[in-house]
Amino acid sequence: MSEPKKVDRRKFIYAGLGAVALIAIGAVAYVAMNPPVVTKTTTVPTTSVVTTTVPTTSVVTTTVPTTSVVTTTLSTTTTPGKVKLYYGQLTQPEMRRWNGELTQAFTQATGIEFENIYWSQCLAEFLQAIATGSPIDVCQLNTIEIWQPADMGALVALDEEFPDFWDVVKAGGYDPEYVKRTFSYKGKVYAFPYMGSPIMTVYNKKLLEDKGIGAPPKYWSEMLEAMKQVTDPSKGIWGWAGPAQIGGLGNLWWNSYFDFVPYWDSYDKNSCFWFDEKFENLNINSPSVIETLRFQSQFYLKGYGSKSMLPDTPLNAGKAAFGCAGSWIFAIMGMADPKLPELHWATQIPVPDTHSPDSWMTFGDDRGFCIPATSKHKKEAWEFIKFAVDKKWQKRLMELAGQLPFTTKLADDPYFKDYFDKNPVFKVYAEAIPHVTGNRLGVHALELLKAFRIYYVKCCLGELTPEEAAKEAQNLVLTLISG
Amino acid sequence: MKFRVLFLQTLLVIFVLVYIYPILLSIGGAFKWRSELFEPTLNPFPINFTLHNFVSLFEKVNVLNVLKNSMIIAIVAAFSNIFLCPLTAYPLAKSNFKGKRFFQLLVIFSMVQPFIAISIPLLGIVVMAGLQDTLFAATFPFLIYPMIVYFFMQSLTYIPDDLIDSARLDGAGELTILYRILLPIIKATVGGSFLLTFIWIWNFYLWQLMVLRTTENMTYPVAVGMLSTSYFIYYGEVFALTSLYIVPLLIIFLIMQKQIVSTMVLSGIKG
Amino acid sequence: MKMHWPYFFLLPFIFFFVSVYAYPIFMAIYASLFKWTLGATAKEFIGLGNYASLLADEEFLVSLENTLFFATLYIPAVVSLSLMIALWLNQKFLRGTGIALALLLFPLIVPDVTVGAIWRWLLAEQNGVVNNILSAIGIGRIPWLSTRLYGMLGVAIIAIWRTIGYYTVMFLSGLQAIPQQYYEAASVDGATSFQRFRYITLPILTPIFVFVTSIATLNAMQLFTEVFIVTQGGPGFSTSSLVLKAYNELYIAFQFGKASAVSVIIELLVLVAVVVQIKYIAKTLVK
Repeated sequence: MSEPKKVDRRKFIYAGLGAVALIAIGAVAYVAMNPPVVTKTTTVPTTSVVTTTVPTTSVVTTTVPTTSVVTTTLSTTTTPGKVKLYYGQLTQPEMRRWNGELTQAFTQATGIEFENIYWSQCLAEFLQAIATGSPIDVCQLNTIEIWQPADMGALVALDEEFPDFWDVVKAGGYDPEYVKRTFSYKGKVYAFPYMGSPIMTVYNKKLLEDKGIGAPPKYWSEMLEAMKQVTDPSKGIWGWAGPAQIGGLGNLWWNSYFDFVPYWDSYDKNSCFWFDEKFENLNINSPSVIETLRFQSQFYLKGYGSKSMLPDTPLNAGKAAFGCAGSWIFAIMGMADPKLPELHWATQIPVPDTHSPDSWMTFGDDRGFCIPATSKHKKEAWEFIKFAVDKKWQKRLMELAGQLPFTTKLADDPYFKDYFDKNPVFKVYAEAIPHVTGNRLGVHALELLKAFRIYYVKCCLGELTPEEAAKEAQNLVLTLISG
Repeated sequence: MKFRVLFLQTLLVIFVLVYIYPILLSIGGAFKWRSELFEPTLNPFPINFTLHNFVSLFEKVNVLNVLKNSMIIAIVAAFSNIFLCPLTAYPLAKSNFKGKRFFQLLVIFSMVQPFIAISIPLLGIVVMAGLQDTLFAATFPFLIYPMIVYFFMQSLTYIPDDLIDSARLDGAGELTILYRILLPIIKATVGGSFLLTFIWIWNFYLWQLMVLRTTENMTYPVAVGMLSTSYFIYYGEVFALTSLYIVPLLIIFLIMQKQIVSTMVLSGIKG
Repeated sequence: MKMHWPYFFLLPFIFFFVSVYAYPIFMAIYASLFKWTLGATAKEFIGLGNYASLLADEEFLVSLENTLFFATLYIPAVVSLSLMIALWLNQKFLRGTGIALALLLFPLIVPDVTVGAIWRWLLAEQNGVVNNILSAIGIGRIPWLSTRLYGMLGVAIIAIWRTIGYYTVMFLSGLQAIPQQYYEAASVDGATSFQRFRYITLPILTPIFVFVTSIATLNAMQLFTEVFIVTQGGPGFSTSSLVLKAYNELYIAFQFGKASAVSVIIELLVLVAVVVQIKYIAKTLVK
């Protein structure tokens, strides 16, 4: 109205200034948050062949192969210069430490660098990475986590891709049959085992001694009796620790995995095979599940275990008589409070009264190295895997995290003798390795464990009988598979 | 009268103490051994005092780096919001133009999104732009909070139009009006928005866990995530980390609260 | 000519909206029509199949009920409580109101893991502080975390405790806009403090009241954190919430399509609730 030309110009000036200001702010913010990183470059050999051998201790016996020679041969890569492996690994502090040492050693040996990516839920982050196109070259997945990606074609079939796969398996001391049973899908193997632990009963020696219970129970009825004597809610002492992280009848999908499956395995070692690829042999509605449910629901119905969720499983406070855990619990407990591991010890999973105590079985919380199908550096990833499963690193993993390599002769292996002498409870776990049966939970493993958990909880709360719970769980699982 | 003051004062103190009792528990827990941590006692303070949680924390987490990263993200986001949200809210509250309704609905629409709906595609965009694992990517979705835009829309609507018209007659440009005249009037909204944005992003772990995956760029929720694993939560270290950051955060809050709980008389609105 | 400035001002928001909201929401709606596993390239078009299966899914229905139940508890409680606290802190003669406000905000900056652990400890059935107090005064021990009703009640208490600072800040910002002169003039005229509240504070506070209520509704419908860290969905899925259901679909079942369908339902519900609220309250309260 009053001075149109002036207003026009002013408007454009404002607009321009505004845009420039925004861009400037954006640029400044961007630079402020991403200062140029000074990378410590190690001179990369552009020549093509690098060979290293990692020596191991020299005691040689006829039964246990102790020398493992890791040879990394890198032929000319298509992109000359640095290769960078994107390594999806566990985020726990002790695992970060182990992986830190491991990747540094590998980089020193071969010049291959790493981008360390930390995962807490592994499979979720793995699928997320694939969905969004994030590069991953090597990662660590649990036995129950490999089915889904294998089914989707997202993992490399290791035995097909690398001709020396079975040689490395045998040289590492692993049982090929165990590897096939635990890590294969539709006839191909998708992971290389490197750590795990048999799940055993962890019990509080002091609590049992205080009540005059000398030896840990071998039978289910003995275990119920022991829990009955120890439980004292007024003092906050529980017979049964309940699942990790939040105790009680929480809803984490893997809670029943640790608490229920070992007892189910001890009842019938063949029944832990939930599925095969055709989803046959689904036997949740079976006597083995029903009887195990009947047994374990007593823990909650009789008040030996807390029904309401707790801040932490009482096992981690020394206030529970029995729990289920792998060898790692002793390492972790020791880090939090040196008094804790001293109070506890590990023993076999008790068996039903009608079984022989030696027939007990359990599952091993195995984890393996996998290579995604989208990786651009499969060969280098495989060299890394071979490097990592060497005995030197297995021992380091034991020292740092309490995780065991699932080699058949672990307990007798002289390489680890000094470690077992210093940490006798780990030898108990090592000796339990022959009692581990592989798990085959199928493609929908996580979903189904969650579904099973629902009915497990209802049974423990007394809302359903074990028979009803097993039947409903089977129905829900069948619905989830077909739906 | 004095009795009333005293009564309300003590009531305030009691209320605040009861209210932050759970926080006191975590601060006290930082100095406890794990076996003592969840003892059924009312006393938040340790019987066996120990500093081992802090030692262990420093071994596991680069505490200063984490603080720096979290502060950068939170402060950049807060400043971006108090700069850009009024910019967006002003035309929506105070002018009539074609499509105003449409944009208002856009603001409301973006306000109601559950984060889980947008998380994976957003991560896809970030990865495509090559910005994964940068602090910029961690801040980016929060540079403009629709909720804060709505907040400013609210506050601006109730400033009388005559004020703006007279400023226009005086020849002020729209930007000047907004930043020089209007914002000082709604200083409390600005201060409140800064605080709210800061707090919101400080703890928003879902996105930061998705985007930030290496050690150098670790922020506070990611560090806490590292200490909470499936089987075992390192409560001692988590409590220690929390306790360490209470001091810098308290300082920031006290600085910002002056903007909100001001005791000065505001004379912007002419009677 | 001058009329064009709104568009320029809105430019940052438009750019932001398109990249952060438009594309992802479009993807979410698109994905909700497919049976799509996270990370898979193959996806199967099933139209409204995801929505149909959700309506038949017990877990989804329980989540919906829980979220609505929670909203009816949370919204009135948190709005009225935060208003009371804001009025309280606004008293000029009280000392330490600044620190009180800062402390009120602490539950929002403490990591969720901690909040979950502390409250599980407080609400423990056997030895929890809350139950100890309750049994001392004769009410008895409540099974907070092992039943559906008390679980949701506990979640509501924790959510109110945690987020009240947020709304208090909003109310305080609004209260600051009321000039002292109004109150002084009213006191001179002999008005009681209640009358001052009713005729000065309340009317001026109405817009902020509407605003806070709509924000509280928004947050109530998107209940996730409190449930996730305290009950993980409770015994079975009895204390699950809508967002938790979406989370489970995405990160446990890895069904991107179904999770997106849940998200779309949440969006629609919240949109309707907030819009209706804004219109209704604004109409009835503005005299």
